[in-house]
Amino acid sequence: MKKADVILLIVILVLGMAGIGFYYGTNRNASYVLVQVDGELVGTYDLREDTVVTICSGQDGENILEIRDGKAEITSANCPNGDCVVHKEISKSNESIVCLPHKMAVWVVTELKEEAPDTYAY
Amino acid sequence: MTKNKKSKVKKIAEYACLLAFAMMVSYVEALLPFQLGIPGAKLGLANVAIVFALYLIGARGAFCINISRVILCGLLFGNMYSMLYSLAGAIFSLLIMIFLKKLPGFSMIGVSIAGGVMHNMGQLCIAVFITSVPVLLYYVPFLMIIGAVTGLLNGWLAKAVCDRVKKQIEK
Ligand SMILES: [Zn+2]
Repeated sequence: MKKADVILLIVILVLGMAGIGFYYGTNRNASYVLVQVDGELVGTYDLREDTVVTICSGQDGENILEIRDGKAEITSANCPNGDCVVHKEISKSNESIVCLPHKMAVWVVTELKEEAPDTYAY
Repeated sequence: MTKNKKSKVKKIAEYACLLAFAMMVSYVEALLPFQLGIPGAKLGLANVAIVFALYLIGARGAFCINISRVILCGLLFGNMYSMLYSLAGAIFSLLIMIFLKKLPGFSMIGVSIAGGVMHNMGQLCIAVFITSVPVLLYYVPFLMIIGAVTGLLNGWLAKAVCDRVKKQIEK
């Protein structure tokens, strides 16, 4: 390993650590879960209300979203790679779970804004 | 004339060996249960073969092998979506590696570290593009660290392979 390699590695690690510090420094307990499929918001849920939701996407895409004890998690899905199921539960702002094959994303926020009104035809 | 023909045969054999090597490590990686649920986080073992190819046959050859590997592995062990997705990571990572290799002072390991980080960034870009959820950008620092560590490991492996193969060629 040459000197330039070591410097590169250290710079990346320091920047990464700083980013992770910022991530944990700014995350707050979230209250709402937003669900988006194919670029469109399809649902908002209260993190304080335990529920199980089936998120449908595309022709036969299904992800089961479970909200329990103030945390949201994808418990099962029929996507090919299963990254969304592997992902740990989320409960803090900054956290998200994605299912790329289904173009689906779930993330949590501390409060709802205008772009996320609490009534949906879902 | 004969010499030219011979070198062409040698080139084809070299490319074929490297492609087989790249596909083999891709397959090994598919068997390993390394999964964090973060879009883009991968061991990227195939990069061992790509870094090695980059040093053995150069940028153009490594590019051909990488693209062929992504397409063939996508057909064999993946699907259309995973193919496009790894293509983004592969192109991002190879471009930065070609660039870094041209700079003085970097060894295979540094090149591989940069490749690992850019591979993850490329895949995250696709993830943000597909979902249009900016909160995904919070994965950037995690992917930098994961990419640097896997890149270090892959670079070290590529160097080990390179040292051994060079000895064989010199014999
Ligand atoms: Zn999924």
